[in-house]
Amino acid sequence: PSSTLYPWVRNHDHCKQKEIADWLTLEMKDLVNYISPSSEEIITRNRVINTLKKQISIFWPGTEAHVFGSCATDLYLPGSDIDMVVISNTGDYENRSRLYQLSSFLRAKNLAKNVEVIASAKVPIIKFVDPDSNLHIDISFERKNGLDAARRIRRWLSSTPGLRELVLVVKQFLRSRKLNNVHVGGLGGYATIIMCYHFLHSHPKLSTNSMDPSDNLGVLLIEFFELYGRNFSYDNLIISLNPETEEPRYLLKDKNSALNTARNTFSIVIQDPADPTNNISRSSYNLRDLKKAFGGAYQLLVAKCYQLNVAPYKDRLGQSILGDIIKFKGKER
Amino acid sequence: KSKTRKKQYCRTCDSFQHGDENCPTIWRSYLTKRSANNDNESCVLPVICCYNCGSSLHYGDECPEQRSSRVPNLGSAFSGNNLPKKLR
Ligand SMILES: [Zn+2]
Ligand SMILES: [Zn+2]
Repeated sequence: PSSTLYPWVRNHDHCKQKEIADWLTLEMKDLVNYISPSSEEIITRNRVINTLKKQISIFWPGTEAHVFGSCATDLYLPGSDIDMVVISNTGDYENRSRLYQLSSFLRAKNLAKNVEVIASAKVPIIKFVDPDSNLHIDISFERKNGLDAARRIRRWLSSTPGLRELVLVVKQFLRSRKLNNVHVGGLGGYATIIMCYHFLHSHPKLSTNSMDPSDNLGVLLIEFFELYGRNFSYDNLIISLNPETEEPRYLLKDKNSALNTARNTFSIVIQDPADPTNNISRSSYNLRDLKKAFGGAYQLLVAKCYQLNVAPYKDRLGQSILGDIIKFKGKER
Repeated sequence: KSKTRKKQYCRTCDSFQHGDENCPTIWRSYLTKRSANNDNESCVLPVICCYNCGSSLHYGDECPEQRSSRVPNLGSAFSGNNLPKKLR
């Protein structure tokens, strides 16, 4: 039964590992491999993106469409949306009539189905589904901050070993708890990435270069949940990076009122590295469930480690440590 | 809870906080770099930020201020004990 719920364990048994931490590290690598896009998926995504880019620039000369978000940083989970932004030379394409023009064009060209124009939102977008691949696409207009963030994340990924693995596993965890949707108070992708980056760069063993994160992914995952599920003071602190060095730091909520609408409240505040007055996680109002989920993941992982550590070989065979916190639903990969 | 529960004791930590079978060292074991274990160990200064008060002088486990999170701390990664010996 476990092989269907935890497909990343199939043919990857690590139950002979002496150290439970090593077993967990190896299982994390298997899970990351399993949820990483296949070459067909990458080809499909690129085809969809390139077609849209080309057609939009034909329809509107003087504009360029770009990808941002998880698709631009290769931190996407299977089936994740594609985020695109149209940037024009004139900078005035974010308006109602333009949104409707483009949506009719995409429909007429058979490039979009289930088209929705959300013109009155804070960030106006067109939402649609690619008819061939069924991938969901959001197009926004004239906003460069997503592109800047993607560039920053790509830089972090190349300078921070272990970041990609930790982010993907935490994202998959949040998704399986339905806590990854910011529209219902969950934690967004960028917020998740900043928390993981902050954690890795402030860890005593990593900031002193005493160990290689890739060898210690298992213990780092548990310690990530330990920090944000048990110990971090959401009441008093803001998660922040030094703007010059990008070193992790915490700011006090009551000394940075611009970021914190209500003082001393139980809310998660993550400072935007590109705009010190912007709170990346202002939509993540469901902190109670988020903290509970992180704390629960810590408990479950630790309990599983203790249980498997004393279990006889036959009871360890085919077991998953991550299976208690991550259920994988989706087509076989 | 049963009244006959044996008092727990961990031989690894010489502690009564947990038993041998629930010892955090079972999972909190790091694979460190060879150079970090001998005398040429890392001299890179750590980035310190306290998860409780935000100070850059100590880690959260050693914070002198009142603890903000209501979840009890059993000892975490963010402790001076996790620094290379000569930086402690
Ligand atoms: Zn112990
Ligand atoms: Zn402190």
